[in-house]
Amino acid sequence: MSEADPEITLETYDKHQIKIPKSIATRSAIINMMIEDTGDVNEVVPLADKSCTLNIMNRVIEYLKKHAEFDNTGADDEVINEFDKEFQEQSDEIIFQTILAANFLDIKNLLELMCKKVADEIKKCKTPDDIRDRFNIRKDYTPEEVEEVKRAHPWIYDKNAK
Amino acid sequence: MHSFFVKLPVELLARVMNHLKAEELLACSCVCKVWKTSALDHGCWLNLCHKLWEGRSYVPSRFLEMAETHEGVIRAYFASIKDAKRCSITTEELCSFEWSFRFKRSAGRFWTRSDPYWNGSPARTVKFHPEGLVKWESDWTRMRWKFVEIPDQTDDNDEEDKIALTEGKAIRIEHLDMGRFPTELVQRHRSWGFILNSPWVVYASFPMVRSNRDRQLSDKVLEKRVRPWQWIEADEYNMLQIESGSDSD
Repeated sequence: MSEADPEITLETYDKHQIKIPKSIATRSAIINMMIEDTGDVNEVVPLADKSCTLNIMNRVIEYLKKHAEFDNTGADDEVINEFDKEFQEQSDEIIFQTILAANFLDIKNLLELMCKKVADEIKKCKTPDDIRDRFNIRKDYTPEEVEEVKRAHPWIYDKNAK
Repeated sequence: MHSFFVKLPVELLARVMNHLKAEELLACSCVCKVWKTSALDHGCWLNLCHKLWEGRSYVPSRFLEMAETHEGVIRAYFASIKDAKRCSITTEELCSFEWSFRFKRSAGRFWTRSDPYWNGSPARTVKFHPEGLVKWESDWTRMRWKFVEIPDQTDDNDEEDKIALTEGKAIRIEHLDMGRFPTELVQRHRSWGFILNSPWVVYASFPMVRSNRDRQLSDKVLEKRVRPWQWIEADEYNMLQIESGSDSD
Protein backbone atom coordinates (compact mmCIF):
# COMPACT_ATOMS: atom_id res chain seq x y z
CA MET A 1 0.00 0.00 0.00
CA SER A 2 1.19 3.49 -0.77
CA GLU A 3 1.70 5.96 2.03
CA ALA A 4 -1.10 8.10 0.73
CA ASP A 5 -3.50 5.17 1.12
CA PRO A 6 -2.45 3.18 4.24
CA GLU A 7 -4.26 0.07 5.36
CA ILE A 8 -6.85 0.36 8.08
CA THR A 9 -7.76 -2.53 10.37
CA LEU A 10 -11.43 -2.94 11.19
CA GLU A 11 -12.61 -5.20 13.96
CA THR A 12 -16.00 -6.72 13.23
CA TYR A 13 -18.65 -7.21 15.89
CA ASP A 14 -17.78 -10.93 16.00
CA LYS A 15 -14.11 -10.05 16.68
CA HIS A 16 -12.54 -10.67 13.27
CA GLN A 17 -10.01 -8.27 11.86
CA ILE A 18 -10.23 -7.02 8.27
CA LYS A 19 -7.61 -4.89 6.54
CA ILE A 20 -8.76 -2.46 3.87
CA PRO A 21 -7.27 0.62 2.20
CA LYS A 22 -8.12 3.88 3.96
CA SER A 23 -9.65 5.27 0.77
CA ILE A 24 -12.22 2.47 0.88
CA ALA A 25 -12.82 2.63 4.63
CA THR A 26 -13.51 6.36 4.61
CA ARG A 27 -16.42 5.83 2.23
CA SER A 28 -18.21 5.10 5.48
CA ALA A 29 -18.81 8.47 7.15
CA ILE A 30 -18.62 6.82 10.57
CA ILE A 31 -15.32 5.00 10.02
CA ASN A 32 -13.92 8.20 8.53
CA MET A 33 -14.90 10.06 11.69
CA MET A 34 -13.38 7.38 13.93
CA ILE A 35 -10.07 7.49 12.06
CA GLU A 36 -10.00 11.26 12.27
CA ASP A 37 -10.79 11.11 15.98
CA THR A 38 -7.79 8.93 16.83
CA GLY A 39 -5.56 10.49 14.18
CA ASP A 40 -3.73 7.16 14.03
CA VAL A 41 -4.22 4.90 10.99
CA ASN A 42 -2.60 2.01 12.85
CA GLU A 43 -5.25 1.88 15.53
CA VAL A 44 -7.85 -0.87 15.14
CA VAL A 45 -11.32 0.50 14.39
CA PRO A 46 -13.94 -1.46 16.35
CA LEU A 47 -17.40 -1.83 14.76
CA ALA A 48 -19.77 -1.87 17.70
CA ASP A 49 -23.06 -2.60 15.94
CA LYS A 50 -24.45 -6.15 15.97
CA SER A 51 -25.04 -6.02 12.23
CA CYS A 52 -21.32 -5.55 11.48
CA THR A 53 -20.31 -9.22 11.44
CA LEU A 54 -17.49 -10.60 9.29
CA ASN A 55 -19.98 -11.99 6.79
CA ILE A 56 -21.85 -8.69 6.38
CA MET A 57 -18.71 -6.54 6.46
CA ASN A 58 -17.16 -8.61 3.67
CA ARG A 59 -20.21 -7.82 1.59
CA VAL A 60 -20.21 -4.13 2.52
CA ILE A 61 -16.52 -3.90 1.63
CA GLU A 62 -17.12 -5.67 -1.68
CA TYR A 63 -19.72 -2.99 -2.43
CA LEU A 64 -17.44 -0.13 -1.39
CA LYS A 65 -14.47 -1.46 -3.41
CA LYS A 66 -16.57 -1.95 -6.50
CA HIS A 67 -18.08 1.53 -6.27
CA ALA A 68 -14.63 3.07 -5.67
CA GLU A 69 -13.56 1.34 -8.89
CA PHE A 70 -16.63 2.66 -10.73
CA ASP A 71 -15.86 6.18 -9.53
CA ASN A 72 -12.19 5.92 -10.54
CA THR A 73 -12.88 4.51 -13.99
CA GLY A 74 -15.98 6.57 -14.67
CA ALA A 75 -18.01 3.43 -15.35
CA ASP A 76 -21.26 3.54 -17.34
CA ASP A 77 -24.53 3.68 -15.42
CA GLU A 78 -25.45 0.42 -17.10
CA VAL A 79 -22.43 -1.39 -15.59
CA ILE A 80 -23.10 0.12 -12.14
CA ASN A 81 -26.79 -0.79 -12.25
CA GLU A 82 -25.97 -4.34 -13.22
CA PHE A 83 -23.63 -4.74 -10.26
CA ASP A 84 -26.12 -3.08 -7.87
CA LYS A 85 -28.94 -5.28 -9.07
CA GLU A 86 -26.94 -8.42 -8.52
CA PHE A 87 -25.79 -7.14 -5.15
CA GLN A 88 -29.44 -6.75 -4.07
CA GLU A 89 -30.22 -10.40 -4.75
CA GLN A 90 -29.72 -11.86 -1.29
CA SER A 91 -31.63 -13.64 1.42
CA ASP A 92 -33.93 -11.55 3.58
CA GLU A 93 -31.53 -11.92 6.48
CA ILE A 94 -28.57 -10.54 4.57
CA ILE A 95 -30.66 -7.70 3.13
CA PHE A 96 -31.89 -6.85 6.61
CA GLN A 97 -28.42 -6.97 8.18
CA THR A 98 -26.92 -4.97 5.30
CA ILE A 99 -29.52 -2.24 5.80
CA LEU A 100 -28.65 -2.06 9.49
CA ALA A 101 -24.92 -2.04 8.77
CA ALA A 102 -25.19 0.58 6.02
CA ASN A 103 -27.24 2.73 8.37
CA PHE A 104 -24.77 2.31 11.24
CA LEU A 105 -21.75 2.96 9.00
CA ASP A 106 -23.54 5.85 7.29
CA ILE A 107 -23.11 4.64 3.71
CA LYS A 108 -26.03 6.40 2.04
CA ASN A 109 -26.07 4.85 -1.43
CA LEU A 110 -25.81 1.32 -0.03
CA LEU A 111 -28.59 2.05 2.46
CA GLU A 112 -30.85 3.36 -0.32
CA LEU A 113 -29.98 0.43 -2.57
CA MET A 114 -31.03 -2.13 0.03
CA CYS A 115 -34.14 -0.19 1.14
CA LYS A 116 -35.17 -0.04 -2.48
CA LYS A 117 -34.78 -3.82 -2.69
CA VAL A 118 -37.25 -4.26 0.18
CA ALA A 119 -39.59 -1.75 -1.48
CA ASP A 120 -39.39 -3.76 -4.72
CA GLU A 121 -40.36 -6.89 -2.82
CA ILE A 122 -43.37 -5.03 -1.38
CA LYS A 123 -44.33 -3.86 -4.88
CA LYS A 124 -44.55 -7.48 -6.02
CA CYS A 125 -47.32 -8.10 -3.48
CA LYS A 126 -50.91 -7.31 -4.43
CA THR A 127 -52.68 -7.22 -1.08
CA PRO A 128 -51.82 -6.64 2.58
CA ASP A 129 -52.16 -10.42 3.03
CA ASP A 130 -49.55 -11.01 0.33
CA ILE A 131 -47.18 -8.63 2.10
CA ARG A 132 -47.71 -10.40 5.41
CA ASP A 133 -47.01 -13.75 3.76
CA ARG A 134 -43.95 -12.49 1.94
CA PHE A 135 -42.36 -10.92 5.01
CA ASN A 136 -43.79 -13.37 7.51
CA ILE A 137 -45.44 -10.63 9.55
CA ARG A 138 -48.08 -11.48 12.09
CA LYS A 139 -51.36 -9.59 11.77
CA ASP A 140 -51.75 -7.69 15.02
CA TYR A 141 -54.94 -5.86 14.09
CA THR A 142 -58.20 -6.62 15.81
CA PRO A 143 -61.19 -6.92 13.45
CA GLU A 144 -62.38 -3.53 14.79
CA GLU A 145 -59.09 -1.94 13.85
CA VAL A 146 -59.24 -3.39 10.35
CA GLU A 147 -62.71 -1.85 10.00
CA GLU A 148 -61.35 1.47 11.19
CA VAL A 149 -58.57 1.44 8.58
CA LYS A 150 -61.08 0.49 5.88
CA ARG A 151 -63.37 3.33 6.91
CA ALA A 152 -60.58 5.89 6.96
CA HIS A 153 -59.11 4.77 3.64
CA PRO A 154 -61.77 3.12 1.49
CA TRP A 155 -59.46 3.19 -1.54
CA ILE A 156 -57.37 0.30 -0.23
CA TYR A 157 -60.15 -2.22 -0.47
CA ASP A 158 -62.04 -0.59 -3.34
CA LYS A 159 -59.03 -0.99 -5.53
CA ASN A 160 -58.58 -4.64 -4.70
CA ALA A 161 -62.25 -5.37 -5.11
CA LYS A 162 -62.20 -4.33 -8.78
CA MET B 1 -38.94 -18.45 7.72
CA HIS B 2 -37.85 -15.83 10.17
CA SER B 3 -39.37 -12.40 9.95
CA PHE B 4 -36.54 -9.88 9.80
CA PHE B 5 -38.33 -6.84 8.59
CA VAL B 6 -40.65 -6.41 11.56
CA LYS B 7 -37.48 -5.68 13.52
CA LEU B 8 -36.48 -2.86 11.19
CA PRO B 9 -36.27 0.41 13.17
CA VAL B 10 -39.07 2.84 12.20
CA GLU B 11 -36.73 5.37 10.60
CA LEU B 12 -35.39 2.64 8.28
CA LEU B 13 -38.86 1.32 7.55
CA ALA B 14 -39.73 4.89 6.57
CA ARG B 15 -36.78 4.86 4.13
CA VAL B 16 -38.18 1.71 2.54
CA MET B 17 -41.65 3.27 2.31
CA ASN B 18 -40.24 6.34 0.60
CA HIS B 19 -39.73 4.19 -2.50
CA LEU B 20 -43.41 3.21 -2.67
CA LYS B 21 -46.37 4.62 -4.57
CA ALA B 22 -49.61 5.75 -2.94
CA GLU B 23 -51.53 2.51 -3.47
CA GLU B 24 -48.61 0.46 -2.19
CA LEU B 25 -48.39 2.58 0.94
CA LEU B 26 -52.06 2.03 1.62
CA ALA B 27 -51.59 -1.73 1.33
CA CYS B 28 -48.65 -1.48 3.77
CA SER B 29 -50.81 0.43 6.23
CA CYS B 30 -52.98 -2.68 6.62
CA VAL B 31 -50.12 -5.06 7.29
CA CYS B 32 -49.56 -4.46 11.00
CA LYS B 33 -49.52 -1.63 13.50
CA VAL B 34 -45.85 -0.74 13.10
CA TRP B 35 -46.14 -0.64 9.32
CA LYS B 36 -49.31 1.41 9.57
CA THR B 37 -47.47 4.19 11.42
CA SER B 38 -44.73 4.32 8.79
CA ALA B 39 -47.05 3.93 5.81
CA LEU B 40 -49.36 6.73 6.91
CA ASP B 41 -46.53 9.08 7.85
CA HIS B 42 -47.43 12.68 7.04
CA GLY B 43 -44.03 13.56 5.57
CA CYS B 44 -44.10 10.55 3.29
CA TRP B 45 -47.51 11.49 1.88
CA LEU B 46 -46.69 15.17 1.64
CA ASN B 47 -43.75 14.09 -0.48
CA LEU B 48 -46.04 12.07 -2.73
CA CYS B 49 -48.43 15.02 -3.02
CA HIS B 50 -45.59 17.35 -3.99
CA LYS B 51 -44.37 14.88 -6.60
CA LEU B 52 -47.91 14.46 -7.94
CA TRP B 53 -48.52 18.22 -8.11
CA GLU B 54 -45.12 19.28 -9.37
CA GLY B 55 -45.35 20.96 -12.73
CA ARG B 56 -49.17 20.93 -12.81
CA SER B 57 -50.61 24.13 -14.20
CA TYR B 58 -53.42 24.09 -11.63
CA VAL B 59 -53.99 22.44 -8.26
CA PRO B 60 -56.94 23.85 -6.26
CA SER B 61 -55.59 25.56 -3.16
CA ARG B 62 -57.93 23.58 -0.90
CA PHE B 63 -55.85 20.47 -1.58
CA LEU B 64 -52.65 22.26 -0.60
CA GLU B 65 -54.29 23.28 2.68
CA MET B 66 -55.72 19.80 3.21
CA ALA B 67 -52.28 18.24 2.75
CA GLU B 68 -50.85 20.32 5.58
CA THR B 69 -52.62 18.19 8.18
CA HIS B 70 -51.93 14.58 9.04
CA GLU B 71 -55.61 13.68 8.72
CA GLY B 72 -56.01 15.42 5.36
CA VAL B 73 -52.91 14.57 3.40
CA ILE B 74 -54.03 11.18 2.02
CA ARG B 75 -57.46 12.52 1.11
CA ALA B 76 -55.78 15.49 -0.57
CA TYR B 77 -53.69 13.12 -2.69
CA PHE B 78 -56.60 11.06 -4.00
CA ALA B 79 -59.18 13.85 -4.11
CA SER B 80 -56.86 16.01 -6.21
CA ILE B 81 -56.47 13.21 -8.78
CA LYS B 82 -60.23 12.84 -8.95
CA ASP B 83 -60.74 16.58 -9.16
CA ALA B 84 -58.38 16.81 -12.13
CA LYS B 85 -61.05 14.95 -14.18
CA ARG B 86 -63.80 17.42 -13.26
CA CYS B 87 -65.08 18.93 -16.49
CA SER B 88 -66.76 21.90 -14.88
CA ILE B 89 -65.41 25.16 -13.58
CA THR B 90 -66.49 27.55 -10.83
CA THR B 91 -66.85 31.30 -11.42
CA GLU B 92 -64.01 31.80 -8.98
CA GLU B 93 -61.72 29.48 -10.94
CA LEU B 94 -62.75 30.92 -14.31
CA CYS B 95 -61.97 34.43 -13.12
CA SER B 96 -58.70 33.52 -11.41
CA PHE B 97 -56.75 32.49 -14.52
CA GLU B 98 -55.11 34.48 -17.23
CA TRP B 99 -56.41 32.45 -20.16
CA SER B 100 -54.57 32.08 -23.41
CA PHE B 101 -56.60 32.09 -26.57
CA ARG B 102 -56.07 31.01 -30.14
CA PHE B 103 -58.04 30.37 -33.26
CA LYS B 104 -58.09 26.90 -34.77
CA ARG B 105 -57.40 26.30 -38.44
CA SER B 106 -61.11 25.62 -38.82
CA ALA B 107 -61.75 29.34 -38.16
CA GLY B 108 -60.18 30.14 -41.51
CA ARG B 109 -57.07 31.91 -42.76
CA PHE B 110 -58.56 35.35 -42.12
CA TRP B 111 -58.52 34.73 -38.37
CA THR B 112 -55.38 32.62 -37.95
CA ARG B 113 -53.29 35.06 -40.01
CA SER B 114 -53.59 37.81 -37.41
CA ASP B 115 -53.37 35.46 -34.43
CA PRO B 116 -50.01 35.79 -32.61
CA TYR B 117 -50.14 32.08 -31.75
CA TRP B 118 -49.98 31.14 -35.42
CA ASN B 119 -47.03 33.48 -35.89
CA GLY B 120 -44.95 31.63 -33.29
CA SER B 121 -45.58 34.07 -30.43
CA PRO B 122 -47.28 33.34 -27.11
CA ALA B 123 -51.04 33.22 -27.51
CA ARG B 124 -53.27 36.22 -26.78
CA THR B 125 -54.41 36.47 -23.19
CA VAL B 126 -57.83 37.20 -21.79
CA LYS B 127 -59.46 37.44 -18.37
CA PHE B 128 -63.01 36.63 -17.37
CA HIS B 129 -64.62 38.88 -14.78
CA PRO B 130 -67.20 37.79 -12.22
CA GLU B 131 -69.70 40.41 -13.48
CA GLY B 132 -69.65 38.76 -16.91
CA LEU B 133 -67.14 40.89 -18.78
CA VAL B 134 -64.44 39.33 -20.92
CA LYS B 135 -61.36 41.50 -20.78
CA TRP B 136 -58.77 41.37 -23.60
CA GLU B 137 -55.51 43.29 -23.53
CA SER B 138 -57.10 46.20 -25.38
CA ASP B 139 -60.85 46.00 -25.62
CA TRP B 140 -62.97 44.87 -22.69
CA THR B 141 -66.36 46.38 -23.05
CA ARG B 142 -67.57 44.50 -26.12
CA MET B 143 -67.59 40.93 -24.86
CA ARG B 144 -69.51 39.08 -22.15
CA TRP B 145 -69.57 35.52 -20.88
CA LYS B 146 -72.14 33.39 -19.07
CA PHE B 147 -72.55 29.78 -18.03
CA VAL B 148 -75.00 27.78 -20.13
CA GLU B 149 -76.53 24.31 -19.95
CA ILE B 150 -75.21 21.52 -22.14
CA PRO B 151 -77.91 20.30 -24.57
CA ASP B 152 -76.76 16.66 -24.53
CA GLN B 153 -75.92 15.54 -21.02
CA THR B 154 -74.29 12.30 -22.12
CA ASP B 155 -70.95 13.49 -20.92
CA ASP B 156 -68.05 11.07 -21.31
CA ASN B 157 -66.99 12.05 -17.81
CA ASP B 158 -70.43 11.79 -16.28
CA GLU B 159 -69.56 8.85 -14.08
CA GLU B 160 -66.65 10.68 -12.57
CA ASP B 161 -68.71 13.79 -12.34
CA LYS B 162 -71.61 12.90 -10.11
CA ILE B 163 -70.52 15.29 -7.39
CA ALA B 164 -69.57 18.01 -9.84
CA LEU B 165 -71.69 21.07 -10.35
CA THR B 166 -74.28 20.97 -13.05
CA GLU B 167 -73.32 24.55 -13.74
CA GLY B 168 -69.93 25.43 -15.08
CA LYS B 169 -69.67 22.78 -17.80
CA ALA B 170 -70.17 25.19 -20.67
CA ILE B 171 -69.70 28.88 -21.35
CA ARG B 172 -71.23 31.09 -24.01
CA ILE B 173 -69.34 34.18 -25.07
CA GLU B 174 -71.06 37.04 -26.84
CA HIS B 175 -69.65 40.02 -28.70
CA LEU B 176 -71.84 43.13 -28.89
CA ASP B 177 -71.18 43.53 -32.62
CA MET B 178 -70.32 40.02 -33.70
CA GLY B 179 -73.02 38.10 -31.86
CA ARG B 180 -73.07 34.92 -29.82
CA PHE B 181 -70.22 32.55 -30.57
CA PRO B 182 -70.67 28.78 -30.37
CA THR B 183 -70.61 27.38 -26.82
CA GLU B 184 -67.24 26.71 -25.16
CA LEU B 185 -67.14 23.30 -23.54
CA VAL B 186 -65.12 23.02 -20.31
CA GLN B 187 -62.51 20.26 -20.58
CA ARG B 188 -59.32 19.30 -18.78
CA HIS B 189 -55.72 19.18 -19.89
CA ARG B 190 -53.27 16.60 -18.57
CA SER B 191 -51.48 19.38 -16.71
CA TRP B 192 -54.72 19.66 -14.71
CA GLY B 193 -55.38 23.02 -16.36
CA PHE B 194 -58.71 23.87 -17.98
CA ILE B 195 -59.52 24.06 -21.68
CA LEU B 196 -62.49 25.85 -23.22
CA ASN B 197 -63.08 24.06 -26.48
CA SER B 198 -65.35 25.06 -29.37
CA PRO B 199 -65.39 24.62 -33.15
CA TRP B 200 -63.20 27.59 -34.09
CA VAL B 201 -61.28 28.60 -30.99
CA VAL B 202 -59.66 27.25 -27.85
CA TYR B 203 -58.88 28.88 -24.52
CA ALA B 204 -56.41 27.37 -22.04
CA SER B 205 -56.00 28.35 -18.39
CA PHE B 206 -52.21 28.27 -18.89
CA PRO B 207 -49.81 29.75 -21.48
CA MET B 208 -50.13 28.28 -24.98
CA VAL B 209 -47.22 28.45 -27.41
CA ARG B 210 -47.31 26.81 -30.80
CA SER B 211 -43.69 25.65 -30.63
CA ASN B 212 -44.44 23.65 -27.47
CA ARG B 213 -46.04 20.99 -29.66
CA ASP B 214 -48.55 19.90 -27.06
CA ARG B 215 -50.48 17.09 -28.74
CA GLN B 216 -53.47 17.46 -26.46
CA LEU B 217 -53.80 21.07 -27.65
CA SER B 218 -53.41 20.28 -31.34
CA ASP B 219 -56.35 21.08 -33.62
CA LYS B 220 -56.70 17.41 -34.48
CA VAL B 221 -57.09 16.20 -30.89
CA LEU B 222 -59.23 19.16 -29.83
CA GLU B 223 -61.55 18.62 -32.76
CA LYS B 224 -62.40 15.12 -31.55
CA ARG B 225 -63.66 16.65 -28.32
CA VAL B 226 -66.00 19.13 -30.02
CA ARG B 227 -69.62 17.89 -29.93
CA PRO B 228 -71.95 17.81 -32.94
CA TRP B 229 -74.30 20.35 -31.35
CA GLN B 230 -71.43 22.83 -31.10
CA TRP B 231 -71.00 22.56 -34.87
CA ILE B 232 -74.73 23.16 -35.30
CA GLU B 233 -74.32 26.35 -33.27
CA ALA B 234 -71.38 27.29 -35.49
CA ASP B 235 -73.58 26.84 -38.58
CA GLU B 236 -76.33 28.91 -36.97
CA TYR B 237 -73.76 31.63 -36.21
CA ASN B 238 -72.63 31.70 -39.84
CA MET B 239 -76.24 31.85 -41.07
CA LEU B 240 -76.95 34.83 -38.82
CA GLN B 241 -73.81 36.59 -39.99
CA ILE B 242 -74.83 36.15 -43.59
CA GLU B 243 -78.35 37.41 -42.86
CA SER B 244 -77.22 40.45 -40.87
CA GLY B 245 -74.54 41.09 -43.50
CA SER B 246 -77.16 41.26 -46.25
CA ASP B 247 -79.36 43.46 -44.00
CA SER B 248 -76.72 46.12 -43.69
CA ASP B 249 -76.02 46.06 -47.43
